[in-house]
Amino acid sequence: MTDLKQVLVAEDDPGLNRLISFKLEKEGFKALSVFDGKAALKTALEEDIKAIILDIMMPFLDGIQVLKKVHSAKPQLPVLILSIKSRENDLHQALELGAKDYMTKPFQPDDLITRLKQIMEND
Amino acid sequence: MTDKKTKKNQKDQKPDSLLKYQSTFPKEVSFLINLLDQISDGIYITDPERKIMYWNKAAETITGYKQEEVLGKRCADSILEHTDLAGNKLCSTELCPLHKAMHSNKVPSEPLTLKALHKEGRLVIVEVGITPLHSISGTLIGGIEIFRDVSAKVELEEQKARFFSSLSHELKTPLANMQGYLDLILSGDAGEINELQQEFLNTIYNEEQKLANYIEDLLEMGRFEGTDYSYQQNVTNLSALIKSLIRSFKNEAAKKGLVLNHNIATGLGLLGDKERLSQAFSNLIGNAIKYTEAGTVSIEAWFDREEKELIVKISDSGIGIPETDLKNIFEMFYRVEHPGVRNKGGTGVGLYIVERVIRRHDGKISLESAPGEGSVFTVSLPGFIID
Repeated sequence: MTDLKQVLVAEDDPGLNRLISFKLEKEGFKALSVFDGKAALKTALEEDIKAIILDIMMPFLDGIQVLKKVHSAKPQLPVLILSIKSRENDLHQALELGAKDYMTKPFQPDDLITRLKQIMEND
Repeated sequence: MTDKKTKKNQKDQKPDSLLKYQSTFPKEVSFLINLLDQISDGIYITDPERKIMYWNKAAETITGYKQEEVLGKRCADSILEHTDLAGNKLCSTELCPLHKAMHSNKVPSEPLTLKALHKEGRLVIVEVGITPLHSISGTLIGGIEIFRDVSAKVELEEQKARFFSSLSHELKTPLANMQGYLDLILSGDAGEINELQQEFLNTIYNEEQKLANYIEDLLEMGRFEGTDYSYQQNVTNLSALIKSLIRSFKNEAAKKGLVLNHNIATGLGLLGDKERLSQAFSNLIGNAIKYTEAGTVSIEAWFDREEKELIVKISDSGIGIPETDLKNIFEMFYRVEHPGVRNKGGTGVGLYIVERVIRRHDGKISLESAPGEGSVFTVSLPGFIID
């Protein structure tokens, strides 16, 4: 069990969080679900995770702030941003800050896995 | 006694400066002055050295300064102190729009949106029109600035933009849930489903996608319309912006079996609004993929040194646009009907937004297309190379 690659799912919407975690586990990952930015940061820094799927609009700490802090502590950790299209500036900023890729909502779960595997392989 | 004296002095001062231009103006001047005082836009008249000779009642209301306080001064002397929306001062001789209008004949063709300083220290957003003033014989005798307080309007637009931004989030989260879970069921991740269930779920999925497209258009329009004031003027790296857009469309193109070619020169820069530009190019690339069933979508971008323009060319091998539709394609709510092609769900705001954004950046967009032969959109924007 501990051999499974752990992926952090930071998404405040419970439905989407469960959807992503479900798909990840189908694909043989172990999903660690968190629902706000503070928990995302804590888990990202403390746990042995291989990638983060990161929402931008989250309570307590937004995804951009989480990304900044995680990227300076673990620059190699691949981050995939998941946000809505009408916040293009956030998306561009996230890429500049070191996120490896981004997807906009709505998204297809298969796409998400394909992209996630891509950024994890490029590591 | 002293009161009377002050009053007398003021009286002396006012007619004096008015007289100064009364001598160069037609005789109807006092009638005109009366008229100008009734107008709800702020108006002031200066001599060629930008010294204020007249200041109407509305100018007093908008700025808090009485005419007596400003006569003989320049608007740069702690009055108005125009800045652009980013806060850069425009008071030096080289930058002053009024000076440029009077002495280099550079009269702005559209009203400028600027900030102005109120006597109480707060900033007012004003729409400004400027024109030089010539005597009948043609010699320059001064300049006129007409300004309108649009602060309330701008505030309302900002509120609207914030509302649409949050509405966008609230509407898209349930949509993302529905699409995502349908995807999981349809792909068999949640167990087997029979053929009839598959068919019905596919119908829900297709209709839901149309709904998502309509909502996308609605939100795009909502956060776009009437927000001309909020355009940012920042150095924007167009190369990086387009590359990151291409990345976001990669999977969508791959899924349709399309080749997504790109050749983007590095360091393409322009002064503009990154979010709006992103919205425009996202619409263009998205359309190219949406309306192409097989073949290639190509995106090229380069710098035209002679014209000092950035050129972005987006070509596809898609269904194309009939000649009769070409002239209307950038109009709001205009949609091209393709016989035999399934309605993809859209309201015809995408290209309208594109054209508006490009024009707002002093750029141009052109289109070459024919049914069955694909489309080529070419955008040119004034720009430079970022070192």
